[in-house]
Amino acid sequence: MAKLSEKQVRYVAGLSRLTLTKAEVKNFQTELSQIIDHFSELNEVEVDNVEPMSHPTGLTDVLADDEPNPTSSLTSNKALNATNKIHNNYFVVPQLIDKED
Amino acid sequence: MEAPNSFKTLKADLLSGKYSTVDLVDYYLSRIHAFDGEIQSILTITDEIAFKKAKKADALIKKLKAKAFAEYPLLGVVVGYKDMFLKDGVRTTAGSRVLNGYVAQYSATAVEKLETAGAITIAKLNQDAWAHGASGENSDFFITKNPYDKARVAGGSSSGSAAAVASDFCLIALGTDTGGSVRQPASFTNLVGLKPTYGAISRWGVIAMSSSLDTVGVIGKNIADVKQTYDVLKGEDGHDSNVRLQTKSFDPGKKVTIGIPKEFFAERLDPEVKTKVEEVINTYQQMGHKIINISLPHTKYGISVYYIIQPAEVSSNLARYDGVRYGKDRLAFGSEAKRRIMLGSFVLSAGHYDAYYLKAMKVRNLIKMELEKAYEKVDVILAPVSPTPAFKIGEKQGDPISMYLSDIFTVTANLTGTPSVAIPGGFSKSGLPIGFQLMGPRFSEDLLFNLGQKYQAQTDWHTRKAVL
Repeated sequence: MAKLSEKQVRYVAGLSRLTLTKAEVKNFQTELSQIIDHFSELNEVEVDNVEPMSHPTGLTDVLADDEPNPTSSLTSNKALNATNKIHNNYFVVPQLIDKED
Repeated sequence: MEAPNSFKTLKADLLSGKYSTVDLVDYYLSRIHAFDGEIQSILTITDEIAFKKAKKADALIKKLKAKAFAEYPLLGVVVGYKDMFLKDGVRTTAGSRVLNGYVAQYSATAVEKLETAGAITIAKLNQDAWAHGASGENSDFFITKNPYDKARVAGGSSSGSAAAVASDFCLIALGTDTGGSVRQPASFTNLVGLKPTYGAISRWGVIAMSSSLDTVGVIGKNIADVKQTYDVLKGEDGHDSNVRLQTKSFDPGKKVTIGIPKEFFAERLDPEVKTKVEEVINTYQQMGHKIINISLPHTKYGISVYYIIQPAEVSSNLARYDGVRYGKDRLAFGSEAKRRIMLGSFVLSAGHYDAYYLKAMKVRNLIKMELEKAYEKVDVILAPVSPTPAFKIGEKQGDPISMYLSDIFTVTANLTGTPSVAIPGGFSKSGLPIGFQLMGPRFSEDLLFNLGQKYQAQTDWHTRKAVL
């Protein structure tokens, strides 16, 4: 595969919500291309009629009861104690919608 | 005093009053203060927690004597945790600056199980940030040194777990093994490293790297200690829904058939490692076990499959680190984390998903089917852990592909969800530890431990210690 373009690297960085410096973009153009090139060995492998495997256990649909479980929940005090961006007992998140919308 | 070399010695020493648990914690801390400045295996020392627990342990031993150990199977065992494991109220970083200063809000099931069994937490251990690495050099804090040669890496990503046990800073340590991260550092430091069956030990409270591959692993000085720890850790906790234990019975005296996969002895293997692993094979043959050559042709694609699936899952798992609820924002990610997030987003992106991610999932299935077929003919598989002994610090930096290839012999067990135990198999001419691994079908841990114990009964590699 040809070397990734600057535009492709910036697109992937956008998907990843990463802000890259110019030098990082340049570096990833070469480095990611080299790694992806290595993957081309998989072209040799015949996979017709092979099911994709997403998981080693074979378990399906392990469902929990739809009830609050105190052993897997945090109190709001505890949940909030690792951030200082709090307003009225809620996390403050970055603004997603323009005020004018 | 001298640090105990096994749970068995520890129990005898504590019962005979050779030392108390508090003395032991004092001793480990004195070693940490004397040597960890150089080894750099520890991120956070939990001395207050350790002393408090040690006092309780001493009181229990005084009151209940030997019965205390029946009730608390890990009583007095001093343990360190890779910094992927949450411990309520203790700084937990995953080796990353993103979480520098984060204090865990609850404890991992694995931590709770060990503590309930009487173990004493002494430290949180260094690692490659987010468990991304095979050398420990990707820690955002410092590089852990190999106790056998401080110019070399301790292996990774559970670098601190291996170095701390090898340095007698603790008796056992937990790590995580996603592509070899427990077995490879164990084999670089003359220790036993268990990567259990996927679904045997709960990962609740362990920071997620790659969820279809991650396992909680154990690093210790001998098979018996690792088995005892595994027995405490295994089983359902109601939180990790992948955990479903199956028990496989076997005849402990049985002579087994051991498969030697030729692909694991290809030209990439260092000649000294090859010689040592062949000596191990001879030892098993002399015990009367049957050795047969097998071929696993698709395992050679394991690295490509692994380095597609794993970064894909990394890109998803690390998406949660946005600095809103805890930690710093995404600018704090180090270079390897960024590389894997980028790679994962690429192979999952529209136009590339089928060619890379879907293809890798299919080849993964081929590898699994191939291995299952092999286990119809053989009971276990014996192979090297790593192509080389511990390499020099800096040797592979700046060359990600060469670093990724360090995992070539270990990823097969992760991709297939099967167990593997790394066991010390001797030393190179320059004194570097060399390990081998015993792999088996899902939930064959007890058979692997049984065979490992038979090897350790005939050899004394595992009793040799690093000179710090």
